[in-house]
Amino acid sequence: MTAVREALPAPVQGRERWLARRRWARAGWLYLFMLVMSVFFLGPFLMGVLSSVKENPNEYPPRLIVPQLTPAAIGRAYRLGVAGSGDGWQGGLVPGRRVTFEVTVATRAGQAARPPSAALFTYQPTSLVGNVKYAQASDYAQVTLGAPVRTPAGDRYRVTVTYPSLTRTSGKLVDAVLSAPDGADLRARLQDGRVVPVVLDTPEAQSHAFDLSEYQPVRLVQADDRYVLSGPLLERTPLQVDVQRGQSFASTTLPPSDIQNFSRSYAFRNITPGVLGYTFNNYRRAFRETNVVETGQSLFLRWTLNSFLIAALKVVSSVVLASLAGYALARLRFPGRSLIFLAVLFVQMVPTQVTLVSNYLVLKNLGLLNIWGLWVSGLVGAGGVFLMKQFFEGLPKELEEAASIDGASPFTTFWRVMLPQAGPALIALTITTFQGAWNDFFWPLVILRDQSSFTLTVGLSNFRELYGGQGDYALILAGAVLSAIPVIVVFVVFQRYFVSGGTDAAVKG
Amino acid sequence: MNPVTRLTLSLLALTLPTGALAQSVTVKINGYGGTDPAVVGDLINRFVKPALARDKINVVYEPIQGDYNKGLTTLLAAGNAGDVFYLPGETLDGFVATGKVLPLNGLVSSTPFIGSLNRTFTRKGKLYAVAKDFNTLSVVYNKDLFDEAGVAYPNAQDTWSTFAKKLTDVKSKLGSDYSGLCLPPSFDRFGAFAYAAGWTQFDAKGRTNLADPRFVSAFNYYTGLARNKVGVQPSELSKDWGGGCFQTGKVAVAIEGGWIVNFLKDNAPNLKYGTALLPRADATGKRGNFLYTVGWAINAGTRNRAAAVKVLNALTSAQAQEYVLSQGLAIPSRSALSSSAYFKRSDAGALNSKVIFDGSTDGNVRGFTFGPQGSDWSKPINDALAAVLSGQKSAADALRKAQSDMNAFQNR
Repeated sequence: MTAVREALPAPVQGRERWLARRRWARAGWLYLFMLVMSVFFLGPFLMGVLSSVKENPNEYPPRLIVPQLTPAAIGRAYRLGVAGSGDGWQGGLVPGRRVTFEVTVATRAGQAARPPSAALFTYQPTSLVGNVKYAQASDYAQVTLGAPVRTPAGDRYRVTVTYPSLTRTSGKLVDAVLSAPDGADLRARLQDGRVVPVVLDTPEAQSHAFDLSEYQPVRLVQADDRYVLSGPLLERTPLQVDVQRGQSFASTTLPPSDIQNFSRSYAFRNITPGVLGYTFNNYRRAFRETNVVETGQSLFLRWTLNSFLIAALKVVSSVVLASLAGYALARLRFPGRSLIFLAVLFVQMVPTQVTLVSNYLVLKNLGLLNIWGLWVSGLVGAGGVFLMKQFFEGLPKELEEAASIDGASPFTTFWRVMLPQAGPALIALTITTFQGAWNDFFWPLVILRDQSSFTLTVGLSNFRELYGGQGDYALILAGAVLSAIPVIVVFVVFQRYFVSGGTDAAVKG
Repeated sequence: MNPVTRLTLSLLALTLPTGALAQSVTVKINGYGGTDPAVVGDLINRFVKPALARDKINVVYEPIQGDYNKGLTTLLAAGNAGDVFYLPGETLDGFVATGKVLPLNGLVSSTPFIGSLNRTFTRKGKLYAVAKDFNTLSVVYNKDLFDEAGVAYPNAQDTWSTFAKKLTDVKSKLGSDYSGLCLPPSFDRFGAFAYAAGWTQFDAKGRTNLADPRFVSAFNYYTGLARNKVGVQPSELSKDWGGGCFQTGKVAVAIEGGWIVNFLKDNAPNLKYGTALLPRADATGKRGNFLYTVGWAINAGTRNRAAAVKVLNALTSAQAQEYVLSQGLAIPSRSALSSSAYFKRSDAGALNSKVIFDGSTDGNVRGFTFGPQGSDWSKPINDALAAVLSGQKSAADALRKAQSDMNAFQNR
C-alpha cells in the first residue's frame, strides 16, 4: 500500500490525505453529535441512577464519584456487615457480636488531644411512622472507645460496638419474626411457619418485653422445646462521633452520612451496612420501609406485584379478545361489520379524560373501584383490535379456504390455522399492552383507593408525597429506577420481534 | 322442625325490617395521604376498633392523595365523601358555606378540648369540628452555631430587637457562609409577626388592611432581617422550606412548628437544636402565633350519624391522644394533656412539643385561616414578601401593590 502511495504523483497524494481528513472529521462530528444527544437523552437517566445510590441525592455540587460505588468503601461495608451479623451482603447487628469502627482525629498543634465522644443514636425514618417500630441499636448495644494509636494523620481510635445476647442459655440459634403477642406473652413465628411462645429468661430480656413490636425479626435460642429470646435482629447501627473544638476528623472507616457543628460532628446512619445496606440502601429501603399495617407486608413489593398482575391480566385479555375481534372484523361477513369497525376506530380517538367521569361512575356503582375494576375497564384496547384486524387482512385467503375444504368451523380455522400465523402481531400487541399497563398512571390514580391496591406508578407518586416532603429523594429515585427495569427488560428482549411484528409482519403476513 | 314451621320462620325472616338484620355499619373516613394512613390506621386498630367492637361498626380510612381540599370538595359535591373527614382550619369557611358539614352542638362535647381550638372551628355559635391536634410556631435554633459565635441562645424574654441583635451577632461572628434566620416569603410564617404587632386579618367588614401601621411595622421588621444576609430565603440554599434550610447547619434559626422535629431526626440526626417561644413585638410586648389545626368533622349527608359520632369520639379519646403525643406525632387538643409526662421529658423533641403547646395560649394567637375566599387570599402578601426579600422592590412599593391586589381579590 505504501509503495503504491509513494508511486502516486503529489497532487493525488494530497487529495487523498484531504479525503482521509474529511472522513475523520465526519466521524468526529458524528461522534460529537451522538455524545451531545446522549447527554441530553441519557444524561438525566444516568444521573438519576447515580443519585439513587447516594445518601444525599441533592448534594451540590453533585459528585460523579460517590463512595457508594468505590470498591474500597464497598469492601469496608462488606467487612463491617460480616462483623455485625456474619452476612456481608445484608449487614445488620445480631446478638453476641462486636463491631469495631475506626476514627482518626487530628488535633491542632499546641492543643491537648482529647478523645472524641461516641454514642449510638435512634434512627428510624419517620416517613414510616406507625408502621412497624423496629428495635434500635441504642437500646441494646454499648459503645466503648479504645486507647489512641498515634499515626501521622492523627490519633486513631477504635470505637467498639458490642451487642451482648439477652440470654445465657445455649443451644441452636433460630431466626424468627415476632407475631401478635398473647396478652403480655411474646410469641414468634418460626421460618417453618410455626408460632411458638418466646421465653425471656433474664432480667435484661424481660426489661424489653413491652418495647418489641409485632413483625420485629428476632434471634432465638432453641433449648429443648423452649425458644429463648437472644435479642432482636437490628437492621442498622447508627453511630455519632463528635470531636472537640480545635480538632477535626482525618479519616473514618466509612464516610459520614451527616456532618454538623463545623465538621466536628459526624453521624453514620449505619456502621454495619453490608453491601446491600451501603450501595443499594435506597433500593432496600424502598422494599422494606413502607408496609401494610395489618400484615407487615412490604407495600412496594405489593405495588410491584399489583403492576405485574394487572399487566399480565391485560396482556392475556387483550391478546385473546383483540385477536378474536380482529379476526371477526377482518374475515367474517356479518351485518353491521363496518359500523362496528368504525366504532372501534372512533373509540381509539376519544381521549380517556372525556369518558373519565362516566367510566368512574359505572365502576363505582358496580363496586369495582379496585384492581379488578382497573382490569375490567381495560380488558381490550381499540388499538389492539385494529392491529389484529389489519394483520389478519394481510394473511392469504387460501389458508382459510383450505381449512374450510377440510371441514373446519370458523373457530377451528381461527384457532388452528390463523392464530398460529399471527405470532409477530401478537408479540407486538403483548409488548405494547404490557408497557401501556405498566406505565398507566392517570386511570389507576383515579380509581384505586386503597393503598395496598395501588399499582407501582400510583404508589411511586405516593412515595413522592411521603418522602419528597421529607426531602428524601433518594428513595423516590430508587423506586423510579426499579419501576423502569421491567419495561427496559421487555424492550431489550423483544425488540427484534417488536420491529418485525409491528411493521413487516402486520403488513405482509 | 317440620316444613311448615320452617317455611313460616323463613318467611318471617324475609319480612323483618332489614335494619335489624344488617347491623354492621361501615364508617368511612377521609383524610390526608402521606404518613396519615399509617397513623390513623394505627389509631383505628388500637383505639377505635376495641371501643366499637360491640356496636359492629367497621371503620375504613380512605386517604385523599394530592391536594386534600380540592379532593374533598369533589367528593362532597359528588355525595361520595366519607362519613367522617378531616376539616383543615384554614379552609373551614369555604366548606361550612356549602352546608355539607354537620354542626356538632349537642352531639359531641367540646369541653375537654382547648378553647382556642374550639373557637377556630366555631362559626356563628355552631361547632363544626373537633380539633384532631394542633401546631404553633416556635423559634428552633442551632446550638452549635450560637456556641461557636459565643452568643446567648434565643429565649422567651426576647423582643424583636434583642432577637435581631442575636441573629446579627451570630452572622457577623460566623461570616459569609452562615446566616441568622431562614425567611420563607410566605404569610404562614410572617403572619405571626403581624399578629404580634396587633394587626388583625379582617376588619368588621371582612376587609384586609395592609396599610395598617401595625402590619407595616411587622413587614419592615421581617423583610429588614434580609439585609446583610442575616436572613436568607430557603431558595437561596436550594431548599423549599425553613426546615430544609435549617437542616443544612448553615442557618442559626428557623421559625417552624413541631413538624420540624421528625424531619430533623431523619435528615440531620446529629444537629443539636433547642426551641424557644417566638420573640415579643417591641411595641406591644406580646407575641403573635398561628394555630394550625385540622379537625374531625362529620358529613351532614351521612346515613350513619350515630356511628360516625361514636367513631369521632373514639378518635379523639384521651387514650388515643395520649398515644399520639407519646409517639411524638402531634400535639393533642385535650387541655388535660398539658400535664402529660411527655412534656416533662428533656429530649429536644419533647422540649419542642412543650414550647409548641405553650405557644397556643401566649399572646395574640389566631387560627390559621384564609377567610371565606380561600387560600388565594395570602397571595398578594406572599408576592410582596418575595419581592422585598429578593431586593426587587422597596417595602413601600410592594405593600402598595399588595393592597391593590388584595382589594381586587376581595371585590371579586
